[in-house]
This record gives sequence, structure tokens and C-alpha cells, in this order.
Amino acid sequence: MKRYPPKWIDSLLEALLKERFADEIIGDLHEWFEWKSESQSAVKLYFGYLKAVLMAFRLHNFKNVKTLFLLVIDTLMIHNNIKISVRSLLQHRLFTVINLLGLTISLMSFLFIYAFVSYEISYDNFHSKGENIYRVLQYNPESKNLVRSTPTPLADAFLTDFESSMEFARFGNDPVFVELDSQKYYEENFYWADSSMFNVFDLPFIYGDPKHALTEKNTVVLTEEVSNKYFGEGVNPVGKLLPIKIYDGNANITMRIDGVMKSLPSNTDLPFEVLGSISNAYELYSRFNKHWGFNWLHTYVYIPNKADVARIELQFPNIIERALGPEFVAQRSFYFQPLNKVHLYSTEVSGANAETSIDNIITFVIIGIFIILIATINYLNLMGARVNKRTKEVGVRKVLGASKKQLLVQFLTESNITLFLSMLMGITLVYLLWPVFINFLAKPIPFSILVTKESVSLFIALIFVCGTLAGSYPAWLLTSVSVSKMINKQANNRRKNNLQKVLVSFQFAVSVFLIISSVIVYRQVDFMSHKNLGFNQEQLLTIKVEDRATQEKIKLIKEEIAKLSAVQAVTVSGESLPSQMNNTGSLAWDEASRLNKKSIHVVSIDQDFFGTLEIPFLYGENFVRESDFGAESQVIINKAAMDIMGGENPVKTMIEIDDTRHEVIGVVDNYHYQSLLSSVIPVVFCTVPPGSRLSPDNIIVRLKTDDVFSTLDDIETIWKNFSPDEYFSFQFVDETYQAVYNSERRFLKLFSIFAALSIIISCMGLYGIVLFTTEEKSKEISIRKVLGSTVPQIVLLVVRKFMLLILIGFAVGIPLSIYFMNDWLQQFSYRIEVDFISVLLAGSLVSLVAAFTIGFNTLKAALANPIVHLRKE
Amino acid sequence: MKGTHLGEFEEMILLMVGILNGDAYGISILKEIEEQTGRTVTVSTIHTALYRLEEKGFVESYVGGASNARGGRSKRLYKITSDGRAALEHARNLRDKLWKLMPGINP
Repeated sequence: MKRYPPKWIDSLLEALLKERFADEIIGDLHEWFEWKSESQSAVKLYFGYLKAVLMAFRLHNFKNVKTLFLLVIDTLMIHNNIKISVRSLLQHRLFTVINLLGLTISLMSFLFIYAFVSYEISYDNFHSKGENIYRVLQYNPESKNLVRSTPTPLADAFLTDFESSMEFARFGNDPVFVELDSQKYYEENFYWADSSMFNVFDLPFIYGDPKHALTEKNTVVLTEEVSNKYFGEGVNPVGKLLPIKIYDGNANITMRIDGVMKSLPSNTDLPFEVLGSISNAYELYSRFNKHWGFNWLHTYVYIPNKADVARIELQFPNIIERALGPEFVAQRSFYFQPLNKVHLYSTEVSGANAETSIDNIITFVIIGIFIILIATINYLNLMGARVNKRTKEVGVRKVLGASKKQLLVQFLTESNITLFLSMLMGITLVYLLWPVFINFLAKPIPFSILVTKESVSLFIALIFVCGTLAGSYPAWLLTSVSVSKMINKQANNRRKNNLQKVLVSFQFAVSVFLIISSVIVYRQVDFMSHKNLGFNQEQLLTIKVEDRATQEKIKLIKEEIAKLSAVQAVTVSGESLPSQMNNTGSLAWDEASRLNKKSIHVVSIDQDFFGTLEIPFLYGENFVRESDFGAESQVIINKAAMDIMGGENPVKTMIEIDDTRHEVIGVVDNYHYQSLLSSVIPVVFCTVPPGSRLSPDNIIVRLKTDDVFSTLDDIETIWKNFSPDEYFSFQFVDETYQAVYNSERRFLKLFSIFAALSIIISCMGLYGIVLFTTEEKSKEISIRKVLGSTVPQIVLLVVRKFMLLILIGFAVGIPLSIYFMNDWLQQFSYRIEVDFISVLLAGSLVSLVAAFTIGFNTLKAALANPIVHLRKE
Repeated sequence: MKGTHLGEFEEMILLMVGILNGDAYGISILKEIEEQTGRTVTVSTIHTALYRLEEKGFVESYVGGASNARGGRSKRLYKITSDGRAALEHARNLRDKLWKLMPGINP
């Protein structure tokens, strides 16, 4: 067989190369091809040919840019195509509006989702060593629990073996008061930190030297923002002294400012505003320096060599054994979490505020794609429906010599123009709604996230891909019909449009899926916010007592508050509500359990605690007197602790907490000391006098009044009597509990907004198709009417067809949503079941909207006077 | 002499153009090179060298006839100019001079 060089290469060369070279090069290439085709195998021949062609592309051979540009315009007939596209868009105004609106809304949603997602995945991506930084989590192989906070001696335990290959950067929170020129500043985000911080993370300094910062005791580093707050803008405060009052340590220290670092960008999980040298913390809390039971530090580690990570991980059991003893190997371990996973992969980590999880991100990406798909399908369907109207136009163009390629380009131009216009409008809308958007997410996402090089190229690619997808279908429909059929009036060229039917079903499957899902998400959030927490949270408020000196007087303050007439009950506790549960010990109750201790939260309270919170006793009774938490002292446990011990009445038995024996005198019912997101684990309640870490530092008050404000004033007056310098701050328990579900609520809101948009866009598409169908069938409907059909019969005729499609959509969407929502609910410890009512409710909502969309048009057609349509010819 | 320097490959092409004497174009040069030196080169390399030689004024070109094997496209034939001949001679003289300077080689 004789072989020929590929023709398209010829045309390409001819198009691109200057005339002076084109003939010569192409001719020579052909001659070479012919010469070699006798001696070489096909593969080698074509490969050699291609290589020669590629090498022929030299800059000096090319036509100049202007000529090339004109050539492109010429080939695509852009000018003419645009003109015709605009005319066609204007001719079918209603459909253009439906298309544009649908696409604009969907692109707007897409842009918002895109901004949200790219912001979320950008967290802490600005550290140059980020690839090799890990967060050290404590891992319990038994319970599979991951804990963010780590004890002080952890780093040293690693460093004895791996000093050369790891660098630790740790920081621990300790709210302080800074007093400057008789101004007081409460610094919640004060952290004790290692001096290695500035080497591990990228924290550029404005003033001072990061190499020497925090290396000495009594030194602090401020962020720019804090420095401006203290000293005003543009002042270099390095070397100045700051008097700082540390609550927990009960100390006043004057600290030297070592440096000012740039304020961290908003997309970070590193929380600090003021950093103090960690050597101070060692001195203040020296009891904990060797203590493995007190978890307070965030530990990050920089391991430059990736290969070391696996090597170190293998040594975890050895490190635990050496530091804590062999019996702890089964219960304690560590986990190195890569820095880039800290933000999105921390839902399992207790203590971390994982407001967004990777699952949320994936969900929104999928929704974004779905919404774009729905709108593209709208376009495609409406164009498909219009095909019958446009056959004549295409037929004439074909007769006049338009090639298939030219027709295709014409349709693609039209769809790309529509998408481009929608994108412009979408971006404008996004720009206008941006303040609402960031306010809603409560995140300062910069608009510039949408105008980076990557984003813009993605958007352009998106427009192009969608435009091409949507435009090629009608083009294919039209170009594949023979010309004679097209312009022949008698020929019935109405074609079955199966793809269109599938797509309508698909749209409704997606919409039903999203609506059912949002109903279930709504019910879960509602369930969590209204579920009985096991205690009465009405009119309950907590007052935090930070100052050690005031804590000494907490009992006196409590008694004074109890005297107020508007106060029903008052108690003190070591934990606020919802509780942090900072103190966790180990629980044993018999020989067997001593080898396999369980963890248990320790909370100090007083006699009035259960009465104030209205938590019922199951067995035994309340404390009669207060004692310290020493050996043989009395304790009360919760039901979870009783269950773990075997579920029998444990009153009067002895238990061991951190190897100290205590007598159980009562069991109370479980209450949700944290939100419903986490389950209740064993808790032991004890009484502890002031002066230790366990001591009560919260006053919990139940009011019995409508006049909350004057009561609060009274309480504040009492507070000021005891500690005139301390800031009085309180919180309502029900409000703080609700705030825990904020991220779920936000997820719900976003989700339901997008679900609503998807159904709106779908219905717009449906509206368009129905309109077309009735218009096309107007003659049939009129004849039927004339022959005696009733209006309901006619409505049924049209509706039946569409209802079937929607039902198919339901049949696909409902099982999918049930499956996925069951999966989603698994993350909650306390959850609802996917029930029939939710599905029915969501389903009927969608059907109602769809029925209205279809019915409106159909009814209009059925009620029309037949003469109007029959006369038209 | 800046800008008129002859590279090794250019010199070879120029020689081939001279040898082919009026029948030099991409493919004939390619064949000649393969025949005389055993080197395989792509057509485009030869074109590039020819364009450069033309720019330097060592060859001149004119449109020749077309043939079937070329898909009906015309050839561009190359002819060596007097400048080209001079450049070749200069290169040869230079080389001869240098050879003579090499010790252990009898003229």
C-alpha cells in the first residue's frame, strides 16, 4: 500500500509558514517521505516525518502575528458568526434570558464555592518549610482517640534519640493581662513558645532579630497588630518592658520585648498574638515539666529529612516505654500530622476547632460541579428544543455552501458567547455580593483569590469546555440532517430527543438529592440544638474567675450572689459549661482494670452543683461536707463511669484515680458537658479547696427572673467588691452551647442555598422546554380542542410526559440521598435517623415546584382559543 | 570577517551545493550527505543551514520545477555565489596553513 504524509500537517504548515518557505519545506518533506517510504517501517517513517515537521517550526519561518491573527479570524469567520449569534440570541429573547439567568446563577455559585474552597485549602501554605513540618498529636491505640494537646516532656523524650533530625516548636496558651500606662489589655492569645518557632515557621520580623528572640527568660515577641495597639503605628518597641500579669501562674512579670513580627495572614491555624519565652512557663509550672498527665502544649516538629519520619515513627513504643513505663505502650502513642493536613483533616482530633473538614470541601466541590452541570444541561436542552425552529436556517446555509465545520463553529460561537456573558454577569454579582459572602462565612477571604493566574485560567477553561459541550449537541443534531429534509416543509423532521429526556431526569435527580439532603441536615442541626442535654440550661450563666487571688474568695462571692432574690441557685465548678475537661486521669476499680486503666475526666464542684444544674442522682447521694481530693476522699461519678465499671450500683465501693483510692458516694445521670458532637465519657466529681489547678474557677448561676439586666448589675457589684481590678465576664450557657453548632449551621445554610439554586435553575430549564413543547403542539392541542377534548385531558397529555421524567429523577435521587445522608450522619455521636417524612417532605416540595412549572404553561396552552393557532400558517 | 564565519555543518552544506552544481535543494543535498559522509540529518536542519547561508550571501536561490513526488510543489534550487566560493577557499587555506604548522607532518 502506498503511504502518504498526513494532509493536516500540510495545511498546518501552509497556514503557519511564510509563503517563501512553505512550498519548499512541504515539497522537500514530501519528497523525503516518498524516498524513505520504500525503505523504512511505517512507525519509523511517520515518526521521522513528524520530527522533521517539528524541526521546521522556526521563528523566522513563521508568518507574523498580525497575519496569523487575521488568518484565525478568517477561518472561524468570527465576525460573521458573532453577528449571527447575537441575532439569534435576540430573536429568541425568552430562551436567552432563561439561559443567561441559569448560567449566571450557576457560575456565581461556582465562583463562591471556588473562592471558599481555595481559601480553605490555602491554610498555612505560606511556610517555606511546610512540607517537612508536622503537628505531633497524642494517639491512643485503644480508643483511637487523637488529642491535640501534648505534655511538656514529650519533646525531650524524642530529642534524646533524634536530636540531630528534629526541631521542635511548641506553644501553650495562657491568657494574660498586660498593663501599660495604666491601660489594661486582656490578651487571650498569649502563648508561651519555643525560640525555635521563628526558624520552623515563616514568621517574618519587622523589628528585632528572630535568631535571638525568646532565647532568654522574661522576653516576649508581639505581632504588628498588638504592637500598634500598645505603642501606636511605626514605633519600634524592641527593648521596651511590658508588665504582664499571668493568671494561672499567679505571677506578675516584667518582660522585655524582643521583636515584632508581621501579623499572621487570616488563613492560618497558628493562633498567637503575643509570644512569651517558654522558659518562664517552665519556672511557673515547674510541677508539670516532667509530668506526662498534663496536656497543654501544641507541639510542631520540623523533620528536614522525609526518610527520618518513618524511622522515628517506628520508635514510638520505645519512647513511651522509656518515658512512662511498659504498661503504657498499649495506650499511648503519637501521630505526626503533616502541616498541610492540620486545617482540613482534624475532625477526629479532640480539642481542635475543626470548623471545616475535607468532607465539607469535597461536598461543596461536588455541588459546584452539579450546579454548573444543571445549567449547562439547561442550555443544551433549550437549544435542542429549538432545533426544529432552526432547521430551516441551517438548511439554507447548507444550500448556500456552508460546510459542517463552519456550522459547528457557528453554534460553538453562540454557546461560548452565552457562557462568556454569563460569566461576566456572574463575576459582577459575586463582586457585589462579596461583603455578604465573607460576612456569612465569617472569614476575611480576599476577593483577589478569584483573580490569580490559576483561577482565571480555570474559569476560561471552564467557559470553553462548557460552551463547547453545550454547543456541540445542537450542532450535531442540525448538521446530521439532510438538506432536503430540512427545507422541505412537508417532511416531518421532528426527531426523538432521548438525550434531552435523560438530562431532564438527571437534573431532577440532582435537585431531589440536594433538597432531601438539606432537609436531613436541617433536622440533624435542629435535633442537636434542641436535644435535652441532661441538665436544665435555661437562665443559666457562667462567670469565669481567672485571677488566682479571686479564686481564693470564690466561696464568699458565691454566698453573696446566692443572697440575691433573683438568683435561684448558684454553684462553683472547675469547669465551665460547655466544659473543656482539662483534667483527665486514669480510672481503675479492681485488679483487672489496674492493668488496663480507662481515662476519666476530673471535675471539682461543690454541694450545690447537681441541684443548680438539675442533674438527677441515680444512686447514692450528694456530698455532705467538702474535702480535698486526697486519699480515701469521697467522689461522685457519672453514669458513663458506672457503665464502664460494669453497670452495677457502685456506691460505697472504692475506685482508684491516678493510683489514689476514693470512695464512691453517688452516681449521677449523664449530662452533655460538651456539645452533642462528642459523646459522654466517664467523669468523676470531687470537691477541692482553692489553690490548686483543679480548684473551682467558675461560678454558675441560675436566675429566676425576667429582669436579667438588673440582676447582672447586682452580680457585677458583688464581683467588684471582692476584686475591683478584675474584669467581670459572663456567658449564658444555652447561647454558648448553640455556638458550638455554628459550623454545622453554616454548612446547612450554604448547603440549602445551593440546593434551592439548583432546583430554581432546573425549573427554569423545565419551564423553557415545556413552553417549547406546548408551542410546538399548539396546533395539535387546538385540533383536539375543536374535536371536543376537555382542558384536563389536554393538560394531562402534556404533563404526563414530563412527570414521568421527573419521577425517574426521583427514583434515582431518593436512594442516593438516603445512602449518602446515612453516611453523613455517622459523624455525629447523637444523631437522627433518615426517615420517611423528611424524604416525603422534600420530595413533595420538588414535585410541587415542578408541577407548578409544567402546569402553568400547559394550562395556558390548553385554555387558549384554538382559532389563534389554527389560523396561523 | 564577523558574520561570515563558516560553521562545520555550513561548510559541508556549502560544499554539497557546489558539488551538485545547480541541482542543489533540500532532498538532493540530504541524499548527497548520506552518500558521501554516511551522516543522517533531517531535512529541516539542511533548510535552516541553507537559509543562514543565504542570509550571509554564500548561496542564492531560485524557484525550480515541481514533481509528483513533491505533491505538486515547486523546488527551491540553490547555487553557490562567488562570495561562497571565496569563503570556502578561505576556510581551506586556513586549514592548510594550520596543518602545515602541526609538527611531525610532512608537506
